[in-house]
Amino acid sequence: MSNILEIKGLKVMYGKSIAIYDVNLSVPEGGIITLVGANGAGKSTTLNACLGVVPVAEGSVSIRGEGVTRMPTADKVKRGLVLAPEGRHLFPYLSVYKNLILGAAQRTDKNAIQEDLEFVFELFPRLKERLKQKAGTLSGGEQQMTAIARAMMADPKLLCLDEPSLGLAPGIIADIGEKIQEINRNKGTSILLVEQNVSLAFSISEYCYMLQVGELVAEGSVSEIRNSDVVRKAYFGG
Amino acid sequence: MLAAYITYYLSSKAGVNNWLAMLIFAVIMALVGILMERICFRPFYTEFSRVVMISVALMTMLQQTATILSGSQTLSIQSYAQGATNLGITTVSNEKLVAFAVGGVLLLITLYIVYRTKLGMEMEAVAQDRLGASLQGIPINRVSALVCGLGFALAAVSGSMMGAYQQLSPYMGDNINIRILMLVMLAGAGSMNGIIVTGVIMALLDSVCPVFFQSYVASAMSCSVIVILLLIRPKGFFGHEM
Repeated sequence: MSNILEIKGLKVMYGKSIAIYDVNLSVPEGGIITLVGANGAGKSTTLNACLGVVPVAEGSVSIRGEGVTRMPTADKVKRGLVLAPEGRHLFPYLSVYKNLILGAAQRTDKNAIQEDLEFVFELFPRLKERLKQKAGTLSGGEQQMTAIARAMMADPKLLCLDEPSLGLAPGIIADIGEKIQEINRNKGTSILLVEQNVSLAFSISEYCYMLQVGELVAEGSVSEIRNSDVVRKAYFGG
Repeated sequence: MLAAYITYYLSSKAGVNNWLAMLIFAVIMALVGILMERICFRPFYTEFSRVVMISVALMTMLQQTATILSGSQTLSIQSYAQGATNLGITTVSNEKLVAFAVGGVLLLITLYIVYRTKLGMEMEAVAQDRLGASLQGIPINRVSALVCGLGFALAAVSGSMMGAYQQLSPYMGDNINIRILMLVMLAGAGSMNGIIVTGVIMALLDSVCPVFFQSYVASAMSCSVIVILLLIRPKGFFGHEM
């Protein structure tokens, strides 16, 4: 199977300190891949570097074989690489509807935009009830739904999700997990999920990478990783 | 101030029609605005106070340059419209009526752009969450530059209209600049309706107070009203926090 995203030898510096180094990661076409790790391991940095939000010091990023390492964010979005960032970054004083429409800012295909709008309403019926409400006044779960829906409006080929479970109640987390799988199943969108919540990450994905203090320490299928010592040490206290 | 001077030179010295001079200058200023955003404002977009300081610094530079170049002679732009119209209750000079009409039309155009066009929606998105906007593929730098250009062009038009019923002076813009800053603070960031309502209230305060009090008392009064209102609601009355 060909890969939609290839990251090779990625290194990111924050000033003089190294945030991540030599990260190699690939996402197969149509797959759900997770990147787990503790606080400060560099998970978000990896995603942000892919999208061009933070500068890449070394290494390369390619989408479907095309090198995009230092391309402006907008051009990457056009190529189908879309990130729903940590902290959601919605437009708080605009209505949910405008937030969603702005998700499709780069697209001109009106009919397809309309279809995608229907799709996200089907996915998150709650949003349809809240269309006119300002995004900043939504509950945390609804905001996360809006963030995912907005990212979907950009018609991603690879949807990157940064900590979608952050600050949400367990019931809602499970719900979000199901929705992510639904997107993958129904739209064929590849998913790169970054999570601290390992149980969510393991429950929905097939392959997993693990970061520790800026370095990849393990990778493998979820069943392998689940039983490996590294994970047990890092998460379950030996 | 700059607008008034340039319009003066274009119309009086180069013999260009007033309106044409204003239009040419608005276009030039829009381009200057785009350039300025790139050089002066983009590196500091996270800090509003720095942007204000840079603007003040630029204004001072322009004012000093104008003082040196124009000397102490009194200049005035040719009138856009002469005479006065009797409106029943009072008589208003045509000059001000024209300015009012132009302002009204520009206000409607601006409202249309902000609320009805894609650019307007992208403007709001960039203002509310730059990172979020860039991650959706909105060209944030281009949007900021366009907004800056638009703002400069609007300032150019208002400057040259003002120059027609006021004598030119390097400091002619000072009073109105302070008013605008107060207006934005009072209305609160991010609210067009707030700006309009607050603008009308402030203008009323400015024109009603002098009827009852001496002029310097009046301007002090409208300022103190604003200080009191800001103490009650620091984030302004209609907008949201920056």
